[in-house]
Amino acid sequence: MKLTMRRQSEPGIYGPRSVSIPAYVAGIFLVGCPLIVITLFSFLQRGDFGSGVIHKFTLDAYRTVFFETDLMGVKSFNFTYMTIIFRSVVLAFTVTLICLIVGIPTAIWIALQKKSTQRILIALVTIPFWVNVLARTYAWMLLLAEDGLFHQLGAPVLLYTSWATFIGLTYAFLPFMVLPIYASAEKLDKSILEAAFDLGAPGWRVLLRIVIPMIKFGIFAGVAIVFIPALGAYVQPALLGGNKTMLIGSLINDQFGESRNWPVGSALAVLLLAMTGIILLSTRKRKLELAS
Amino acid sequence: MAAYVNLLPFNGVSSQRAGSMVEEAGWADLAIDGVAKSFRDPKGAEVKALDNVTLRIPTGEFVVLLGPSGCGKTTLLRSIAGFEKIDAGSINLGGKRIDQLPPHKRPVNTVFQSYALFPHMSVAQNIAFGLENEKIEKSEIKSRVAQVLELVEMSALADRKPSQMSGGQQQRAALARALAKKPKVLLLDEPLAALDLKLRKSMQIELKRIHRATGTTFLFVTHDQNEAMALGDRIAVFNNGQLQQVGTPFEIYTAPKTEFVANFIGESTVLLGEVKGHSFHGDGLSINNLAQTINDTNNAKLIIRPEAFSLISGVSLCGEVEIKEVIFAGDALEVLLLTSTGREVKVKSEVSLLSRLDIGEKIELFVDVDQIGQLA
Amino acid sequence: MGIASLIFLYLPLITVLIFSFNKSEDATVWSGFSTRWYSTILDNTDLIRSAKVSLSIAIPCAIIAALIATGLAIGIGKATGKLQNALRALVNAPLVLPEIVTSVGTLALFSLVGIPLHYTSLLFAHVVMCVPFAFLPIRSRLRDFDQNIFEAARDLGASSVRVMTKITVPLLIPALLSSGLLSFIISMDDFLTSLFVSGPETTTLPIYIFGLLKLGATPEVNVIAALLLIIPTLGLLVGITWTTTRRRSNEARNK
Repeated sequence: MKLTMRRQSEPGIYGPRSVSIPAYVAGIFLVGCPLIVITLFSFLQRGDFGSGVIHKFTLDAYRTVFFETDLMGVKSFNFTYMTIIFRSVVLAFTVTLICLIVGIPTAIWIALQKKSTQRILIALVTIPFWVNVLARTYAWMLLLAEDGLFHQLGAPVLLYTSWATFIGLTYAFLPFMVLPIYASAEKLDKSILEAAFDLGAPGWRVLLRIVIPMIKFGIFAGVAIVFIPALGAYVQPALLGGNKTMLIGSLINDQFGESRNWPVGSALAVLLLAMTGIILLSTRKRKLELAS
Repeated sequence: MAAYVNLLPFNGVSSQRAGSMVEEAGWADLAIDGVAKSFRDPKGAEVKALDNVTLRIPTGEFVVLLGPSGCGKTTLLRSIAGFEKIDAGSINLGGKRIDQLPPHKRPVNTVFQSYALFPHMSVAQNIAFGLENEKIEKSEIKSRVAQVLELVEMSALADRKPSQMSGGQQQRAALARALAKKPKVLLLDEPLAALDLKLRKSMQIELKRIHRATGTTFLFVTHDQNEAMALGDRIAVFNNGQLQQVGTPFEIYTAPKTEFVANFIGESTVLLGEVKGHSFHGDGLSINNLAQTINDTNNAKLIIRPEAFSLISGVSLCGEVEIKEVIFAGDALEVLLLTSTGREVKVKSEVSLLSRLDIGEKIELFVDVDQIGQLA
Repeated sequence: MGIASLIFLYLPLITVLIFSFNKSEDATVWSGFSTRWYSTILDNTDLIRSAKVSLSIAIPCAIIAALIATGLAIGIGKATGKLQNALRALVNAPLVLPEIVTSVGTLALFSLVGIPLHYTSLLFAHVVMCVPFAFLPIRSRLRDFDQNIFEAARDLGASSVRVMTKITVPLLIPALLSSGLLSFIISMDDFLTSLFVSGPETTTLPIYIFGLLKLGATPEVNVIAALLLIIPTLGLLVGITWTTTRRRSNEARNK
């Protein structure tokens, strides 16, 4: 039984280790501290005239998010905020699902082309990524407006509805789904597929039982890259949904802006952070299981 | 003193400098004492990469570390270079302890299997790099670079980049780069593994020439036993992190101490049985008039090389064997035979016997008793 | 299916492009080809000013982020300790967390500590956001090299610092350029963080554009959107052809 020895070279082989300190400092102060501060703020009291916070401990922010008291002093679940949170999750979930349904075949199709074609196709998929999200969202504003192309061609006016937000998000995140799946798919050994067809398996079976399990890694990456930002999206609901369909992102922006209730905004951000954390941890667990 | 002038690195050096160089490059024995190193495999079990290795290498010797993959030879080399930390024991060079020094402070240099030439620098710049790390004047650096290039016969390629050179040329460049610093020990990690057979053989000769010209201690790692025997003044055979035997190629070949060494170097047949009064009985064979060095024991293990056997009479008869297989090897026949107990015997025989050997036939086996060795 | 996706991806962009050349004042109904709206944007001083603000942040951000990311890649080497992993995860966080959380958090931090929201604070916020992106091309390039060359440099007597200055950094220069470019684009395009962390004088280009967009579709906005499409696309095409020709000439030279 031969054991391959893992060459343990010094960790600092590229240069002195101290060179990474600026990065660590930046990380601690400008990434770690902000997260700590908003968690802190979510437990503080709303400042006078709505600006900033008063350093007094209170659970008011969370109470506002979860509960509401009507004029009779009766407490019930705060459906306004809860609905928004729920709607955001459902929307993010649907967007991810559609991106998967469209993205997986697209990625596989690209991976089956010849090398030179693949490069061109991937470049084409990547280009939208470099275009500012504002421009990409605006394109749909143009198409879905009352006097826009879609309505001119007979479709109902979709701008300023949840549908528009949904379309805008799917459009923005589709490349993010395709790229990691493609990265997994192109590493696939094509001869395995050929062997499967050779053994008489029909196309869809090969896809389901062989291809998809082998690109699981890319799929998980794609899901994480799409779902999490979709949860916290702000631009698309603001421009396409017309603020009638509020999502978590717009809500947080509102609390830190017009409504001037920083603790509530922070509490919502903390909730969003918690949801993100759960998703990340569960994908990491899956990734570790896959790797072993 | 005069004898050492020929061993000086880079011929054509003034005699005044020669004296001081002898002081430097001279008495620097490499002493490896009780070195041990373990690490954890993916399942968490402890693996001993090096197990209590002790080895003394006098200055100027060409020593080969030989063994199969994973036997520890490369780990030992890297430990001497400073890329692995040892868990126990010590490594001393010229009386000074080096195993606690970082790699750049050790007076040893490595030639890597992948050559590891800096891709953005020319050959001359690669060589100069090592010299620039010492406090040496620019003019001196220039002349040393020129000298070492001449030593490896690469003077014309001084300004080439690694990507513009063949494997053999990169090899020489890597060698020159390491030698330029006049290390006390030159470590070579399977440097010829990536070359084709012909180039390998010619590089082996080159290496021996360069070794003689510089007088530096060479420590060479390989898994190829033929290479080891061709190059080494002495060979250190490793297996599973343990040093099995150290000796000249001749000693290792004719008097292997363990079954592993016997089987790793050349072919051999190991007979099990009893030795009493210089006579051996076992495995369906009897051998008399054994050498004085063979001891009496109930658990005897005799090791016999294929060329010590013969299928033609005139040498000591040891018994009857059945022919299992005959392989034509160009200049000889490799014959596999079975004794009455089923022991396989490997015999090297003259080609002329080819027509007389039929598979399944029984034939008499003879042996030259002076070439029989005993394993512990 | 694949082709359908590509059409889906490009149809809206092409529409914007086409409509930016629309003759009439109606942004969404086609009435003929004209470039009149392109000439009007040069008169838009607010647009130009915000573009200058964005550039003045993006260029330093690109340089600083590339340097910090290089330092990270070099210093971290191959270390696998728990602390290293935690710090790396922290530096990487902007890549993984929703931008609204990090931007709001940064605003909250600056407010708590009393840092005013002007140029420098926005620059720092951008740098931290770009570092994880800048890190990726550098680390991948480092791994592509025969790792033995760094050991060889040590073996030949170079201290850690010399290995870095003479070997690692010279070899990383192409990766540094891509890192810088990547950071530049991310900083120029960034909206959310700039929105929260910027003050009155630091209106970046995306913030200005967003303000316009909220008002709905107009011909000027069509042109701006079209330019936001054309410029990066052209840049990418130039970049791709440049790297492809360089790769081809390298391969030819090495034969």
